[in-house]
Order: sequence, then structure tokens, then C-alpha cells
Amino acid sequence: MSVDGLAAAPDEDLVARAVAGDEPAFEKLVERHQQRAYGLARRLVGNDGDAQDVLQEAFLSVYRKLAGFRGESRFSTWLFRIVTNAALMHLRARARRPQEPLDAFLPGFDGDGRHLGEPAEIEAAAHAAERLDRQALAERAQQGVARLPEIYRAAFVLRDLEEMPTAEVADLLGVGPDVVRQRVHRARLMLRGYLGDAVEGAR
Amino acid sequence: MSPISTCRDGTDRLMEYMDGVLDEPLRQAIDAHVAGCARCQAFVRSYAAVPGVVRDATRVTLGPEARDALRRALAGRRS
Repeated sequence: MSVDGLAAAPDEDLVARAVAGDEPAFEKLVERHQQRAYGLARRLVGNDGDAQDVLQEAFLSVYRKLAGFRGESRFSTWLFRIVTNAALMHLRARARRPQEPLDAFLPGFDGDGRHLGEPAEIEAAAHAAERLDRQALAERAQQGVARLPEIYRAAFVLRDLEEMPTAEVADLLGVGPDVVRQRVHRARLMLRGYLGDAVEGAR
Repeated sequence: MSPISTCRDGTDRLMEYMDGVLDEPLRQAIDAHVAGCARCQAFVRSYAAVPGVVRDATRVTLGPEARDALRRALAGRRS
């Protein structure tokens, strides 16, 4: 197959060719998916060096397991599962000092179940992009994601940052859609408070 | 009494509301509460903004050097 032919070939064809020993077909799969795979790894592990390690481990794993890929899900979903697992393994192997949790940033309610605070404060996170400079926002967002409990982080990154459908995230993580929604919800609540706090602090 | 009578009740169901998986009566109860509650309106705006704000702020690009490093690592360990 010509180089042009490879570029136009669907993933499934490239997989079949790679399994048959066609190295350029495998390289094309890597080239096509490396950016998104890296983005996912980077968001899960929180830094560039570890994300590159995860990316290498994941693609080597893909290479070794490719013959077993049955096409029951899309190649990209299968790849994302491998990247996610590699990232989570990486985090566990590092056994980093546990991050201070974000529970303090969950929303507060009074005894009657009403939101605490004035609407302008409650809304603060909605204005993060206007009120914080680019660098400060990037740091705050990265720290916030890194401080999420691991199970919330994986669900939030896949669903809200990589924009995968809830059902696909559920399949990938091996839990039900209700569990995914509950984890994403907790992550959004924590990050909403964490970003809002930075916006309020910058006033 | 409505199943959604406080801000807290509505907040607990917000993800399901936005994912479109709530029963119609619950959905309507949330709509009714939020329509009359400035704090919940503010809360929904901030909650809904989180995915987009964090997505944009954590976007990264795999640079040419990292692409080369990956290609070399894969070529070396495959053969």
C-alpha cells in the first residue's frame, strides 16, 4: 500500500496490516493517535516526563496485544483503555505523597439546604477564563485535576476533558454509567470550588 | 412535597439532569426550583463551565522531539 493509501486507511485496516507484520501500518496508527493519547496521559499523570513514559509503555503494549484486538470496540477506545491503565499503574508505582484532597472545596449549604454565599461568589468558577491569567489558570486547573481522588480523576478526564460518551467511559473503566456520572459529578463539584476560590482570591 | 425542594437536592442531581437521564417529574421540579433561585442559577453556570474551562486550560501538544523519542523507543523495542 502506498503512503497515501496508509494515510486514508481506516484504523481497522491498519490494525489488520500491522498484525500481518506491516511496520509502516503500525507506525501510521501511532502517528494518528499519539497526540490524543499523550493528552490523555498528561491529564492523568500531571506532568510531561511521566506522560511520555506512559505513552511509550502504552504503545508498546498496543504492539504486543494488537493480534488480540477483536474489534469489539473502536481502536481508539481500546487504545484509551490501555493508556488509562498504563497511567494509573504509573501513578501507583510512583506512590507519591498523597495530595491534600479537595473536599474543602465542595459546595456548602445551610441547615435548610440552601446554597451558602451570594450569587456572585457562587458563580465565580464560571469566570475563571476571564479573571485569571492564562498561566495561573493552567496551573490551577492542572493542580486541581492532580488533586482529585484517582477514581474521580479518571472518570472526569475521560468524560469531560476527552469528551467520551458516558457509556464508553463506563465500558472503559468497567463500571456502570451511574457510577461514572457520580464520579464525574464529584470531580466537577470539587474543581468548581477550587477554581472559584482562585477567582475570588484574585479579586 | 416536591422531590426537589432545596438547593442541595437539585445540586445532587445536576449531573443526571445535564446528562438527560432524569425522569420528567424530577426534571420539571429542578427547573421550577432553579427558575426561582438566584443562587442555583449561579451555581448551575459555574458547574456547567467546569469541563470547558479545565479542558482548555490543560490542553497540551506533543512536540516534535517527543514524537521522535516515541518513534525511536518503539522501533528499538519492537525489533
